[in-house]
Amino acid sequence: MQPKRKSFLGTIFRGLFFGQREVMSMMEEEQIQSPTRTIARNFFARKLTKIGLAFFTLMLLIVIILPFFFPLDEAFFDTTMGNRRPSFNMMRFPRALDNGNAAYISAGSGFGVGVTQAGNVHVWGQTGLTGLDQIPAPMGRVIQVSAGMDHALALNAHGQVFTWGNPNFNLPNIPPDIQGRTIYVAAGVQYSAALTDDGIVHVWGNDGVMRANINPRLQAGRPARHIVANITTVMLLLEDNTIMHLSPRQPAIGEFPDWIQGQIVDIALTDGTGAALLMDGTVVAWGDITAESIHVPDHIQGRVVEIDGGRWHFTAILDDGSLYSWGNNFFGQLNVPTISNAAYIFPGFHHNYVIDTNGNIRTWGLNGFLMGSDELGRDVFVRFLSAGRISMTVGVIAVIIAAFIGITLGGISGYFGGKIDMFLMRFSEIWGSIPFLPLAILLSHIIGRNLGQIGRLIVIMVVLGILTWPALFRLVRGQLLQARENEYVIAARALGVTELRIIFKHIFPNIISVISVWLALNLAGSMLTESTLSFIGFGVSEPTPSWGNMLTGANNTIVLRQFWWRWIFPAIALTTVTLSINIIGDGLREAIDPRAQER
Amino acid sequence: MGKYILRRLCYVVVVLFIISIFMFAIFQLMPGDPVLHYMGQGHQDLTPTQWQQLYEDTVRRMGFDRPVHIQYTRWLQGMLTGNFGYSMVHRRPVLDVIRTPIFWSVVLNLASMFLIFIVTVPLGIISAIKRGKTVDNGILTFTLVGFSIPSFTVALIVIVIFAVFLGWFPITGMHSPFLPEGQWAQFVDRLQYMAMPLITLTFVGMAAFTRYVRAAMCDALSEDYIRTARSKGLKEKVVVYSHAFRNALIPLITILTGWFMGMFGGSVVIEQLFGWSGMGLTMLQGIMQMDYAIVRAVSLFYAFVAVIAILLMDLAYGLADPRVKVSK
Amino acid sequence: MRKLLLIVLVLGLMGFALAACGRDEPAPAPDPGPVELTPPATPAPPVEAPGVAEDVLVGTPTAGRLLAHPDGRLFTRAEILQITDMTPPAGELIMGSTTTLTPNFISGFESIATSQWMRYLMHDGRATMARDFVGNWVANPMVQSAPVRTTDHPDGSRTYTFTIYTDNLWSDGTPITAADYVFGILAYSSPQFRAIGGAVLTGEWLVGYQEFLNGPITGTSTDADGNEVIERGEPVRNFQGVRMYGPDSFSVTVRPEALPFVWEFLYMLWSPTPLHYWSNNGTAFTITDTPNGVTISDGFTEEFLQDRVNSPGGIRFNPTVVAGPYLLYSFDEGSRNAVFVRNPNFTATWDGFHPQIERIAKVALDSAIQIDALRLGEVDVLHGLRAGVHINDGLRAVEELGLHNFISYARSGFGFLAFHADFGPSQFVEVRRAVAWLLDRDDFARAFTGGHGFVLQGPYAVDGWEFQTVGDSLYADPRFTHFDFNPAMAVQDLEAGGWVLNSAGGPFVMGVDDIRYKDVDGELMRLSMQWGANDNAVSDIMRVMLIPQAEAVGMEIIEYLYASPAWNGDSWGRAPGTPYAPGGERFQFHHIHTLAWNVFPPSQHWYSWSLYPEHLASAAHSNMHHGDWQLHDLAWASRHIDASAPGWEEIYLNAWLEFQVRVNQVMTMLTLYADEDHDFFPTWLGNWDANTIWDFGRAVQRAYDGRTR
Repeated sequence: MQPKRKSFLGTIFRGLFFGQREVMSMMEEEQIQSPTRTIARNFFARKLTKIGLAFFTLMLLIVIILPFFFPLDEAFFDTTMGNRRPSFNMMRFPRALDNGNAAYISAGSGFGVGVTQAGNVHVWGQTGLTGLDQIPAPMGRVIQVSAGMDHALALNAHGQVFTWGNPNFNLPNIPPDIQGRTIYVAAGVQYSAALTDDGIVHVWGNDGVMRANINPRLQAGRPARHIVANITTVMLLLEDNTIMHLSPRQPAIGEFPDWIQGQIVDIALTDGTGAALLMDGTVVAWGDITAESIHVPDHIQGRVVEIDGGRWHFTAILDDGSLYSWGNNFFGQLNVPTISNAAYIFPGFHHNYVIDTNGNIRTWGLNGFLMGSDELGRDVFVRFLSAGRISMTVGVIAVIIAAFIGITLGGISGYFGGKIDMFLMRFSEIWGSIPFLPLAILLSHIIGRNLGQIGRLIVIMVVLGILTWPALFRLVRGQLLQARENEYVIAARALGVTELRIIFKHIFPNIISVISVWLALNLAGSMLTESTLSFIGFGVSEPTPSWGNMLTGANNTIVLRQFWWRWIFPAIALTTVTLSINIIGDGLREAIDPRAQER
Repeated sequence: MGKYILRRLCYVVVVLFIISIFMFAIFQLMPGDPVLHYMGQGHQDLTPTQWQQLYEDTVRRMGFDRPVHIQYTRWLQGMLTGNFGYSMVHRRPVLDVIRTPIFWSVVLNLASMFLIFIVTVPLGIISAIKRGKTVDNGILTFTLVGFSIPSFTVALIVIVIFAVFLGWFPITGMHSPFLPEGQWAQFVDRLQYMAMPLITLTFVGMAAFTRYVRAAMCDALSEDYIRTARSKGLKEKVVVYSHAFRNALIPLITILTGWFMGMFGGSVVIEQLFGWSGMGLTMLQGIMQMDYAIVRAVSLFYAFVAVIAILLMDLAYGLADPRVKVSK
Repeated sequence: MRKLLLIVLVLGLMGFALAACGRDEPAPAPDPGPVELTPPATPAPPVEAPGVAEDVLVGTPTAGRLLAHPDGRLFTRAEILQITDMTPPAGELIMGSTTTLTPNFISGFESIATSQWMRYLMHDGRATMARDFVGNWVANPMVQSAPVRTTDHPDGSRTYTFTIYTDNLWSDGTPITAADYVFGILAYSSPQFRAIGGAVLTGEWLVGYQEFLNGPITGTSTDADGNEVIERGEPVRNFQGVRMYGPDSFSVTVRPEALPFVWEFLYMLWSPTPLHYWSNNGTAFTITDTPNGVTISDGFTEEFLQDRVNSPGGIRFNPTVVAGPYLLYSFDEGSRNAVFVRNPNFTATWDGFHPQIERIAKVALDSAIQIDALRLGEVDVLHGLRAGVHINDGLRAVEELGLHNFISYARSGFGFLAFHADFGPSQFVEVRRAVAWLLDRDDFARAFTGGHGFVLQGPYAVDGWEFQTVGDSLYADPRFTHFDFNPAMAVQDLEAGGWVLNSAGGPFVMGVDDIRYKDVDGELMRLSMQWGANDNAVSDIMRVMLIPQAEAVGMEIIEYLYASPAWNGDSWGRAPGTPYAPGGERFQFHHIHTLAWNVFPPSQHWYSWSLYPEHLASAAHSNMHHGDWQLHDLAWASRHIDASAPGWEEIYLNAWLEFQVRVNQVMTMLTLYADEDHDFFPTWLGNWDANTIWDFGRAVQRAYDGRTR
């Protein structure tokens, strides 16, 4: 029998992989067992393959099961919650404020500022980004604080104002004429407002924002007794219980009904809606009709004692001391604790603090992100899970398409040979030699220009599949050419077995092993190619996440060093998944290759 | 053997012909009007009638008014006679535009191939000798990591480590802004700038080649003549390096011809991040600016190189191992 | 409960537990009383560059940072040349930029703004007019020896006669004469220069331009579909409107229809082109003055230009004779970086500065690493940086290293949403207004610029002269709507416009039906629009902000993603059915496009808002397809103002105000934001000041390298 010489393609292929079980000594004998059981035994004999398989299945489970528990809302974004580190400390106030010590608290975007009865200021949460942890000293006895998006204000007992945090947008330049006579401070997004004892509001900060949104001259001397600042403008509660706002334009927040003027006791703003508490305890809301916070629930009408607003929700204390929040519940801002002795409430952005009558503080709302947030304030962990699912599906389907084309064409040309083989071989050569990048770009442009997100995903899978089949085609064809010469095929043909049965019943099982190895490796390759395509702008496009385009989001050294959490998780995931697939592929190849067991 | 080579050569011609038709057809499918880009942007305040006139001049000058097949034949004649066409975006013959990027891509690829060869051959040999032991698994997993990370992440990490933290190499570009005088000074200067792209390309390319070396060495080591050499009492070093490695070299060379194909290509990712103007970036810009003269010419050139490489690999198989039956 | 469990599981897996820290509460101290306040920490004043400033700057820099005589007037040429005890130019400057340089070193082949500075550095300095820091144009004292004489002719045309000094030198020492200015006009308006791909628009408004470029009119005929076509003979060799009187004087004559023109000074702006250098000292061709215009000899042919200008070593890629302060020293074909060196024969700029920096290098950078290159000192100046993430990192570098200063200025330009008002739902003003109400432009500007930018209410430059003077009255005008994020108003406008039906023709019910319809002359039109988007950060944010909000009020916006702006740029410039839309059928016409414009003074907005059919057709003008003739007339009205009549500013500003109000009413352009550009430069670089108009090319001529002092 002619010594079964390993076809060179096989060497090339074997060259791609590694790993080899300990060579059995001459004397050991193997029991007789079916080829598949040998392959399985060899496969699981190696430690590394087991680790690889375990890790791959774990990641697969995480990526398939967890997104059901953490569903991704692609339309969600929050420009004020960008680039927050992974942590759960946004509402973890220091012990110094607890059990009766806290006098005033203010919730910023991902951090909090509090002042004790003794007038000392404490800061907690995500304070590192813009220097919020460097509290100015001395400040004297502070009586009120206010937290904005990335800066904070403090007011001491003598009407003096201090500020710290974001050093840009001339936030540090407090107008000198308000020092010593300020009664209330309110920090907005990149601007600050202060109410002086004569009822006049002074505003300073990002002049671009102010030039468009805030015009203090509109107050025209009418004294105010309370001010509320939100993301767009400043709302004033005047001495005569009427309200007005300082925006020179007609924002939705400025369209409050006229009949409430004169009966307003307290006002609150979210970033899209406003609410007024009237003397009879009823609440009237107005503003952006698509915001959930505009619908005030009926059962609290007439019973509200105090209201205040966060970014997308309102929180109120009712007459029986209990709490009620309404509006958007994306971060659990509405899950109020059931207490009956609420004294003061301090909602802000997506966080809520309540101090009850005996001084204990309770919090509810957003406490942090497991893997931090990206530049549009989206939870990296939730996107990471959905991205994994998308990247893997793109890889798997691309490989299936490539395998389908490769196997059918390979089978036909390998088995029938002659004219067909020559034609298919040349076709695969042509298709294989067209440079990958231009073809991928042109195909995805011609097909995928005006489809929705899902359509564009399918196009990427088709493109990756179409462009990678020639390798498998040559492999299958080579194996088939060899298999055809073997005795069992000739014997089967002599027994009169039909052509199709020969291909699928006899030849295929031998080839399936090589094909499955190729599938594993190509799956890893397709996932990597998808990420490279994203880098040049042709992969999965925003806002649908894939590990590839999450990595591309980190294509500058600033994100790499400073906002590491935005890229390190997809990078680890993509690397470990590709690594484990490769390891599985190797294990499979080593287990199948008869030479591997030779002594 | 001669008859076989002749037949394969005429296949090559047929394949190139089909590819050229395919390349030509792809760009006709693209929407948008390339004439506008061929006209250039310098006509901001042209009165519309003159602008219209210029539009028709350009259509005539570019020969777009003639039927497609004539355009195709004119283009093919140009390619065969070395006139690769005229890039209207750069307003220069395609050859002038791509001469330097191809040169720098070849320089980078050759240097990285050389570096990879030096690094992976010893690694492959060690892992083949200590096959199955932890060293072997360790080497192969380490090289596999390079295979599994997207290249732009590797590039960014290399930049942060070598340029930002260690400060060994300049961060981007191909030469220092004010080129020093003197051939040797300029050579050292360019070498400094080539370091980081080389490190990235080597790390990414290492995985595949280590395996080839290891597989070739394993085959060579499991041959009968090695058993006889050992039984003759030769020292292990001699057995491995003189006998096994020399035989393992033959398949390695055939693989090198395969890599010859990649020499002219460029990696868009590496070139974009390191500011290294090579073929990858030129091709991408050509597609983005609808400069199809460049993209067609270069794609056909790549196809030519690819088909030749496949032919060489097939022939090399035959030479390297006569027992292997090359396809009928 | 289930979610909590899972978080704990995954947490265990990932192992992240970062604890916060808090300080303990010290014993309550008595009230320490009011605090003595330190003055607010204004940003650190720019570190003064070493070296004595006086030896570089003579006289006191004016508000526009220009050098002017102590009594406020510009220096005369004699005064400038008499400042001879300058320290010789020294030092070098490395300029980093994220755009790669295409090697077009003379104008006419490319109008990309980002490489315009380089051509200014080499060729400008001896033009007859000059633009100052804030955009006003003045006569160049270094060139014009006597003020321009204007003479009117009975047929309404007008001639401007210039007398110039003849001892300004080219970089090779040859004197710059009237022949060079005249040759500049002829060359850049010639059919031969057009044939090699150059722009031929310099002499566009002069008498004889059409005959010189396209040939005299020989007759008219109508083509197949009834359009009137003008036949023209061979282009003539003489340019009638251009005359030359000896080496020190020349004149140009403007056609009657070109007047009155509000920016008439643009007819007095001509820059020289080296005749001796192009014509190999007259051997190839010559120009001679004749009674009907300057004539260029037959040697000036397309073949000659192709070799002399367009060949790899030609004038276009390696100009060695320039009039500007800097010469091209080297250009590396591989890295596309260039080095410029001081032109010894350039005396001083029009405002008296002797450029002090000896060598300037331009280095291409990927935006991913530009701030790191600044920190490592591989690049000295980053000009015109945009996008919040880079600016913030730059500001952090300034703070941490203390080696750099920064300046910031409003970009003279804006990003905007453009609507096609010719077809589909976007032809109705209420639909366009609804989109304006639905987009939260404040949030968009914050997301894109990170606070370093702001929302614009109309197509103007924020620091431009027009907006600075009448901006407040524009805002206060009752007809001017401030489009803020207000979905209720969007619904109100849509319903007022008749979009109240659903797919079956019945009344649209919010929440039940998803898309609104309108009865448009008998058929139901679906409120669905296509948006031609490009793959950039603006589209990423827009996709997340606009599309969901539109769906919430019953409007569908489908996104067509084009990988490169080049692919969908043309389909914007065309309109279906216009006569001049060759290849029109190959386009995808989208209702909405995201575009950006730069607005350089003087504002010539009539071109972009014109409704003349040929203007609409030519992509050269990327016109606004607004279809509103009142807006068209208002735009052209602000052009035909006689700037010589007293009080013309009043008339022009009112016309501009009416035009802006009408743009707001028609709402085919929703301006999104203007960036606040930042420049980062080393502390040793003295007297650096720039903005979008006063770009790198102009600013570097007035700076000096403190290290060499």
